[in-house]
Amino acid sequence: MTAAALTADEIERYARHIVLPEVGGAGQQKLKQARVLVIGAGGLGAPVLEYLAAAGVGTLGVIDDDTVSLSNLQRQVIHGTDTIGMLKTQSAKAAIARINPNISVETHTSRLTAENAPALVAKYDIVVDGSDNFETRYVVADACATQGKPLVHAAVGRFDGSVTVLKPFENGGDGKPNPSYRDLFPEAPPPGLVPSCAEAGVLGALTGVVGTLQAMEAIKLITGIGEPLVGRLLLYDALAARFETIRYKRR
Amino acid sequence: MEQSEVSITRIPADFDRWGEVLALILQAFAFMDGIIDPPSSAQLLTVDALRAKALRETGLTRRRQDRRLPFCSRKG
Repeated sequence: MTAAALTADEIERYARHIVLPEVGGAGQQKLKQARVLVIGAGGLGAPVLEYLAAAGVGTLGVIDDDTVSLSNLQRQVIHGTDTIGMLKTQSAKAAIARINPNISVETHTSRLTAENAPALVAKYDIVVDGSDNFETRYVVADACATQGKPLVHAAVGRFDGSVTVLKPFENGGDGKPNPSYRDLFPEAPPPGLVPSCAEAGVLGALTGVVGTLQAMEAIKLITGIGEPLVGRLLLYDALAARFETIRYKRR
Repeated sequence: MEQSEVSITRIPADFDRWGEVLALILQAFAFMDGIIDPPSSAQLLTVDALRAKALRETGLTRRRQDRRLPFCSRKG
């Protein structure tokens, strides 16, 4: 049996995937072989990690240098009251083991920097950004661009969220290079201009919606199905219950 | 910029520099021109629309030293 082959237990676990012609046994094997790095085990990272673990993504990397606190729990559903004070990487690893013991979890309890990001990103097939600050977003986007790794980016605040997929190292259907994160947001806003979730607030279920959209995009990229959000920014206005899509291109 | 240099107050009823506010908004979103489709909704703003928005919502002015930089905030 090859590493990608599915055991009888896995075939039963993923039966609702395998019955989908677009996924099938071949798609499930791709999920099993995939290595996905999730930046941050917070509001966005929680549903990303839970759904990718449940979906059978073989290896999940998680980088976070924080510990679980009480005020995290209204949105960071991968953690619980019993893991307050624990490293988020360890709390997330324990939760993933409960969801799906077949998943290999690689924890990186450190802060992502411009120095360590390229080598870390290089070890994975796809990166999902669930970070909460502009500095990390640019570090992740730049590292993924130089290492040629697809990036599923998202951001949330108060009642609004956005998702996009970045593959600036490839050409689009029109033969032109796909846009990068810096084409969408050329430079970070001055420190203090955009309030953090701690300052402005965020509804917990919003991070669930947006993080789950990120998990879906990651699964599409791994299995090669559907139309990923490359060159498109999906905006979600929770109060209006409205989704909008904005196309963007390289400068 | 130091906090002490900035004061925030309600936009006065006789405020009449909506043309400058519109120019400020368009300048702020100019980096998106030609990049995003559909274009920024800032392109749809007019002086009259801004004035009406300030009546409907709570308009605030941020004053830095002798300059006045207005912006709007949602009511409620």
